[in-house]
Amino acid sequence: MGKENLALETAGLSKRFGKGGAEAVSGLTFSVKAGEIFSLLGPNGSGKTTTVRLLTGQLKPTRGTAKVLGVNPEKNPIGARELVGIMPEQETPPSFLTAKEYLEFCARIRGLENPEGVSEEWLAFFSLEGERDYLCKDLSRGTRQKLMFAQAFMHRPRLAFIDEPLINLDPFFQKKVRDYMKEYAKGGGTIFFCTHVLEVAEKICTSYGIIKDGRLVGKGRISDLKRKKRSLEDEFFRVATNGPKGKGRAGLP
Amino acid sequence: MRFPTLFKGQVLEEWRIHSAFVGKRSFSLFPVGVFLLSTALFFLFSSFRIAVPDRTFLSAISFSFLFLGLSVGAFGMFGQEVLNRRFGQASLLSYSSRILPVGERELFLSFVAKDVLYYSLLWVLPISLGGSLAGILFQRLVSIPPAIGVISLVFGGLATFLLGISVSFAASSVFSRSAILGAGFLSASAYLFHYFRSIAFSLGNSPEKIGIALALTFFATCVFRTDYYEEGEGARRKRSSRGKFFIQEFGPFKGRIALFLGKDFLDFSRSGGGAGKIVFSILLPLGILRLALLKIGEIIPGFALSNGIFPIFLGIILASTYSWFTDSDFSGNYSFLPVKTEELVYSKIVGTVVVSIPLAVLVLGISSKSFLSFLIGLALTLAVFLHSLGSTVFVSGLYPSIRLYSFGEFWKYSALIGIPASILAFFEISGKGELALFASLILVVSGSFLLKTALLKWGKGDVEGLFF
Repeated sequence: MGKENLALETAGLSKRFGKGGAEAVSGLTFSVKAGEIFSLLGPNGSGKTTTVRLLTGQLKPTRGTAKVLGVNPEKNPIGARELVGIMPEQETPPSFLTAKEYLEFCARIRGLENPEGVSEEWLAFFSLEGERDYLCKDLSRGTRQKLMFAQAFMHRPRLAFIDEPLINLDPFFQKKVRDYMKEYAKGGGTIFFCTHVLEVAEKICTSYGIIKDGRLVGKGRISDLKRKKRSLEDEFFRVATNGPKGKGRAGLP
Repeated sequence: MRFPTLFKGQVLEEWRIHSAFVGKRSFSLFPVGVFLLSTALFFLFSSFRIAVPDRTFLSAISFSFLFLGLSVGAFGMFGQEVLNRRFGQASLLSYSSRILPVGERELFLSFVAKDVLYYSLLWVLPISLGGSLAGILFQRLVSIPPAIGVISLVFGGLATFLLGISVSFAASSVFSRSAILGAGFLSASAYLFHYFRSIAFSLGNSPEKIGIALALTFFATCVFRTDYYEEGEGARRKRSSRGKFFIQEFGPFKGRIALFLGKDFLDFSRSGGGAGKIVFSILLPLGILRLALLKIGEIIPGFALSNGIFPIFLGIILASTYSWFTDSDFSGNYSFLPVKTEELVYSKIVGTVVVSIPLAVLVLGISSKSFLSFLIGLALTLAVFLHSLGSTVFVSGLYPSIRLYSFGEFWKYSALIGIPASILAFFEISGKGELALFASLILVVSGSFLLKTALLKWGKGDVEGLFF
């Protein structure tokens, strides 16, 4: 596979916060091919969010390099963010814009031709027509998450970074979002997907990486796991916890 | 007892928010900086001690603490900072009313108590102690024993500050129920302040006045506590499409700058803080300042304060509106979008200018005696405004409310604004208004330079350190 087919690649990507602190991300070297749904898995605090922030130019690496759609996010963070879509796990839309205003705001920042049309399209996709004129602060968490998903995909990026997009959605919209992601990848888009829900990752992803204490401890293709008749969960527990599934469940608190 | 737990948690949280950003040592040293600055300023004021009677002098100090209380209360209650806390964006503790058996009212009271503690430690006590030291050293409080003077100043300062903050919170609480009742409450408070002006803490009878202030504080706190309005589902309401105007274009501005300006003004108007901020942090301080300057002008013959000094203060106060725009925004909103920090800083600067120039024209239009004095005043105000705004942005970037609590940056900020303002004031007081006007031209140049440098400075750190 030639380099031209890579959506992103990293070489020794590392990040240390503060002087003398431990490395939050250490020597990450991996690549994701265009058209893949890549899932970055790892225990809490393992460095997933830091990795996404490094790849999208929100943080500068201490050492190592990254290329996202051919752009170095350290040197050209705005260029990288123009090309990709990002759905962070923690951020929510600004409190005092309405749902519709927020989508229009993002569409205009991204310089889309028909911001009103785009925003209407996404409101309809998530059946949010009744919520369009309410301030974001008054919307449910799930609705705010839908808006964040919409802003990440509204400009049809070739690569999207999405962090736990399903966690607050009802089963109907979970399926809708999963289906959208699959269709998007079929159309040539690439998704960099952070999640703790291994079943979902196994269902929709084509490849995965497992990160632990800032280091990449496992990577591979879902199809290879299936061939070996192993689940992603088995693999995760094998490499991320150094033990069999269920280890450490000694008792209730 | 949940209150002590909440209070302790919020105090720790506030400490960590600031110390994480400016450093523990720098934040801890901040009150020392205020103390030193206050000592120096009181020393300067002591040069007026023959002309200004002690009673007037101490009244002015009392009033400044009352103000601080009013402003802190107004910002605390109306500002986005609190709304962030209320809706759990900036503080996990504020979210606890939704996930733990803690009422929002109780949470808010501990929040107020925490603010009182911090502002007392960061501002009220250092200023009072600085004033006391200057008084002792330079015999400002010569008519009474120094210890009593110190106690009078420190406790008087705390009491007036508490009165101000409690009245602000109570007023905002009544306002949230009914604008008419709120207006009535404010009118009563204005009368109260007028009353206090005439009996402001003076050397001979402080304990009684402090007692009255504390009793009124208790009353206002009770009003706030019993009337506090907890927002429920009923608060959710549809918004008209007027936001559309802001998002597409903003006055003469078009494109991305119009987007950011529009968002800032929507935040400003919808957060419910617009009127409160204008009244408490601009009009009320200016009104009292104007009265105080006129009063001093009456005491010191030939002291032409009405023309020169007021516009200097006006320029500085107007530049502080920059924090309205920075406080009501949250950089996390942009971290995942292709937005340059420089664009954000620039839009906040433009927003400040858009708000401040009409306010300057309005205030000077009302207070100037002639068209010529209006023009001179406007020129001085705008020059000081530009320089102060440039200094604020240069020192603090997008986070003036946090960064200025660093010892080093507080001094930089104070020196950048205080030195030129003092020189201008000196020219004005010594009747050399033409020199002040000439100096203001230099301030226009320095202000423009500072703004340009600030945009470069903060634009460089596009990612790390700016988004948190």
